[in-house]
Amino acid sequence: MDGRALNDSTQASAGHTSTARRLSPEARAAILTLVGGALALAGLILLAGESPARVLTLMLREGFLTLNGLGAAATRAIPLCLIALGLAASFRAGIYNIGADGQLAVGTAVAVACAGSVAGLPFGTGIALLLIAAMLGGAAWGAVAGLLKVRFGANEIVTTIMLNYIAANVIGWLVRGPIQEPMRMFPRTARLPEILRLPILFEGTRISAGLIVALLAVVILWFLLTRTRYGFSLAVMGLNSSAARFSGLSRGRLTGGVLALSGAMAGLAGIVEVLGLHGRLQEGFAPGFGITAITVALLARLNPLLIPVAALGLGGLYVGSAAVARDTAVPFPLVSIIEAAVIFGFLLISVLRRKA
Amino acid sequence: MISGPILALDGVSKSYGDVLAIDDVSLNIAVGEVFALIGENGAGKSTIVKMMSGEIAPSRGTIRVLGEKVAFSSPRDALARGISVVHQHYALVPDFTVAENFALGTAPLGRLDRSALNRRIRTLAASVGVEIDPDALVGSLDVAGQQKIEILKALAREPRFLILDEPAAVLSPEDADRLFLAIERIRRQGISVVLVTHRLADVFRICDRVAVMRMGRLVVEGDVTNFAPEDLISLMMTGERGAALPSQPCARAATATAARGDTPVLQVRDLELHRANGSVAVRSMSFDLAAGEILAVAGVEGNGQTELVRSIAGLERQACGSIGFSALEGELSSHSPQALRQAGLAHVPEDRIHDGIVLTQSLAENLLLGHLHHPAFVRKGVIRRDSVVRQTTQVIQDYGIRTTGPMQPIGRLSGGNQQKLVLAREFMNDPCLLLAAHPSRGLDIRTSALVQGLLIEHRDRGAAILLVSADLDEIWAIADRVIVLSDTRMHGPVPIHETTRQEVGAWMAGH
Ligand SMILES: Nc1ncnc2c1ncn2[C@@H]1O[C@H](COP(=O)(O)OP(=O)(O)OP(=O)(O)O)[C@@H](O)[C@H]1O
Ligand SMILES: [Mg+2]
Repeated sequence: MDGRALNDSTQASAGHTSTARRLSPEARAAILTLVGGALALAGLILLAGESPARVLTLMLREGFLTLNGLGAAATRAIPLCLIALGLAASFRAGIYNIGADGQLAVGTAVAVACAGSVAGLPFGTGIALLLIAAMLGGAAWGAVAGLLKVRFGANEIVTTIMLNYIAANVIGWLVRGPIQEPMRMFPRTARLPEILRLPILFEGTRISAGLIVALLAVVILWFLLTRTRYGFSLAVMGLNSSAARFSGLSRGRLTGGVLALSGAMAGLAGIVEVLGLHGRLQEGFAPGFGITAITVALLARLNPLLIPVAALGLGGLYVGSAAVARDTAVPFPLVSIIEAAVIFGFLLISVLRRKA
Repeated sequence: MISGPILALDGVSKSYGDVLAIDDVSLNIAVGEVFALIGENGAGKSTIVKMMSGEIAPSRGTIRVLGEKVAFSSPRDALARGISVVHQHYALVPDFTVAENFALGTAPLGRLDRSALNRRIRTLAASVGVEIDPDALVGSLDVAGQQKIEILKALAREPRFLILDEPAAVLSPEDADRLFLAIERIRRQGISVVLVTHRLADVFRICDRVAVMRMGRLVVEGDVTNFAPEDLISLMMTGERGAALPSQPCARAATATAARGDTPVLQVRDLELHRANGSVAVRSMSFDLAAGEILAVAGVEGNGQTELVRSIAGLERQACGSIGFSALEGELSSHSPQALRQAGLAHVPEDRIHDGIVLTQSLAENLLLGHLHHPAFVRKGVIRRDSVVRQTTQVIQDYGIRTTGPMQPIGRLSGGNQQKLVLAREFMNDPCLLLAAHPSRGLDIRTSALVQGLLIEHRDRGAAILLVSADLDEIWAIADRVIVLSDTRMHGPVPIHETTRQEVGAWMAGH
C-alpha cells in the first residue's frame, strides 16, 4: 500500500506523448541545462587551475572507493538518514518541514541538559533515556510549528525556518552560558561521561552504534509509513487533502502529529551525533544537516528503504568534497557547486528513466 | 468551400501497457455536424476525445484535420488547428478567479486587462444565457458552475471543432437546454461538435450522427434517424441491435416498506445555510428523514444542496439551526466527521475527483479510505492488505468495474468506473444514513439502474437516504418524498405520489 510508489508510476505514464523516441520538451530542457552546467563547471575548475577530470575522480574515489572514505561517509550518513526519515513522513503528508535544524538543536540541548541526572544509571539505560529526551525535545519544537499551522493557519515553511533561527540563537546562548564547559574556553559543553557514549562498532572507524539506531529507524518508519493506518492517512492527506477530510480524517491532528514526528527524528539524529561522534554539544556540530536531509529524502523519493542509500551517497559526496578542497586548488564553495551538479544529474537521470 | 471531413480518425488504436483502450477505430466528422459519441462506462469515449484534442497520442493509426495528417504533441497543437475541448474532468485552477482562469493559456504576455476580460466573459455568458461572476473564485463554485466556465472557455476560443465530454451530466435541465441552444447556434456557423453523453434524449435532440463504442471498438456509426433509442441501448450493451435487454430498473417497490420506522434518523430544524462566499442559500429549513425512506432534494444546483449535505456530513458548521442524528447523542455538529462515519453515516460527494478519491492511489486504497476503522481492514492500526484487496476484487466483480485489477491507480479508470468504486465504498457496511449527491452522474444506463436498485435495496433494509439529484426521472423512479430548494426557500417535503412534476418544476423555478 505504498501511495508514493503508485504516484511515481502514474506520473510515468501520464506524460503527454510517451513516445520512446522523442524526448519531451522538459527532458530536452533538462539535458541542455545539465550539459550547459557541466561545461560551465568544467570552465570554473579550469579557472581555478585544476583539471576537471582529476577533481571528479578524486571526489568519487575519496568519498566512495576507499575504506576510510566509506567509513567517513557512513558516519556522516547516520544523522542524515535519521532526519530524512522524519522529513519523508512529513513530506508524504504534504507538510513541508524545513525546520529539522532547529528541531535537532532543541532536542539535543534538552537531552544534553539531562545528561547529568542519568549518568549514574547502568550502561544503556542512560543512553536510552537521553535518546527519548532528545526525541521529546525535537517533537515539542516541531509541534510548535504544528500548533501555529493548525490554530492560526501559519505556513509551516515560514514558521519552521523562523524557529530554526530561534533555536540556533538559544543554543548559542546555552553553550556560552548555563551549560558551557567549566573552562569556559569554547562555545561547547563539557565532555559527556564515557558511560553515556554510543560505542564504536568497527575498529578504526568512527561509526558508532548510532548506525544500529538508524537502521532500526529505517525499518520502523518503513513499516509505519507503508503498512499502517497512520502512514496511509498521511499519504492521503498529502495526495488529496480534501478527500482526506471527506473521509473523516482530522487534518489538524495529522499535521501537528507529523511535525512532531519529524521533529523527534531530528532530535534523535542530533543526540546520536553527540553521543556517537562528538561526545559533547558544541555550536555548529551538525551544520546544515536539516537542509541536506531534505535532499536525501527527495533523492530517495520519500521511500524509507531508499533513504539510507541516499544518505550514504550524500555522505560520500561530502567526504569527497572535503578531500577535493584539501588536496586541490579548488575552493570549497566551488565544491558545493560540484556537489549540487552531481545531485542534479542524478535527479535528471531518474526523471528520464521514469519517462522512458 | 471545404469538402470532406473536418476531422478523421483512421484505424486508430491506443494501448496502455497491456490494456487496449481503443482498438482500430475509424471515424469521420463532417463540417457543421453534431456528432454523438456514446457507449458504456469505460467504452473508450474519453480516450477518443483525448486523442482528438492532442492530450494523448494514438499508439497506431492516423488523425487527419481537413485531410491533412497531424501528429499533435500537446493540446496546444490541436488548439492551433481550431480544436477546443471540454473535458469530463475539469482543469481549472481553484485559487484563481473565473476571469483569471479564462486568461490562462489565452491571454497574451504582459499586463492583464481585467475590465476588458470581464466584459468579454459577461458578453459571452449572456450570449449563451448563463450567469457568471468573473470575479468569483473558481474553488468556491460547485461542479455545475465549474462546468459552465469550462464550456464558456472552450467557446471563447472560437473553435472550428468543439468537443464536449459529458457536458450536460452536471448541469440543471435549464442550463443543459441553454447549452444545446448554443450548440445549435454554432453549428449553423459551420462549426462541428462532438458530444459525449450518456443521455439518449440528448442524442435524439441535437445530434445528426451517432457512433456507438463498446469495449474500445466502434460498434456502429450512422445517422441518428436510423436508430431508435432501444437500438442504441442494445448496441451499447451487447454490440448488437435488437438484443433482449435486461428488464428496466427497479419497478418501483411499494413505497410504504416494512423497514420504514417512525423515529427519524435525521432531524433538521430551522437550519440556515450559507454559501462559501457568505450569501444565504437557504433561510430556514426543517425536515425529518426516517429509516427506510429516500428523501430527494431537487432544485437547480447552487441553491444550498451542497451546503446541506456538507453540514449533515459534519464538514461544515452552520450558524443557525440544529441537526440531530439518531445514532449519536446531542447536536450533530458536536461530533467529528470521523465519529459520524463510524456511527453509520456514508457520503457520496458531488465532486468525485476533488473530494471522493485519490487519483494516484489504487482501487484498493481508495476503498480502504472510507473504512479506516473497520476491523476487517485495519487491526491494531496495521492495514490488513490481503483483506482489503480481497474485498476490492469482490467489489470489482459485483459492480462490473472495468479495471486491470485492485492495484490499478483509480485515476486510470474511466469516470463512470471511478464513480462505481465510490458507491461501492459508501454502500459497504450497510450505513444507516446515506447522503448521496448525484450518485448516478456520469454512469451509463446499465449502471444507473444498478445504483438506483441498490439505493432501493438499502432503503428497504432500513437505511435513511438523502438523495440530491437534478434528474427528475431518477427522483420519480426511486424517491419516497421530495423537497425543493430554490430562492433561499425550502418547498415540501411532499410524498412523491402527492405531487406532480409540474408542481416540482414550478417550485424549482421559484414560484
Ligand atoms: N492512463 C490509463 N492507463 C490505463 N488504462 C487507461 C488509462 N486511461 C484510460 N484507460 C482505460 O481505457 C478504457 C477507456 O476509458 P475511457 O475513459 O475512454 O472510457 P469512457 O468511455 O470515457 O467511460 P466513461 O463513460 O466512464 O467516462 C478504460 O477501461 C480505462 O480503464
Ligand atoms: Mg469518459
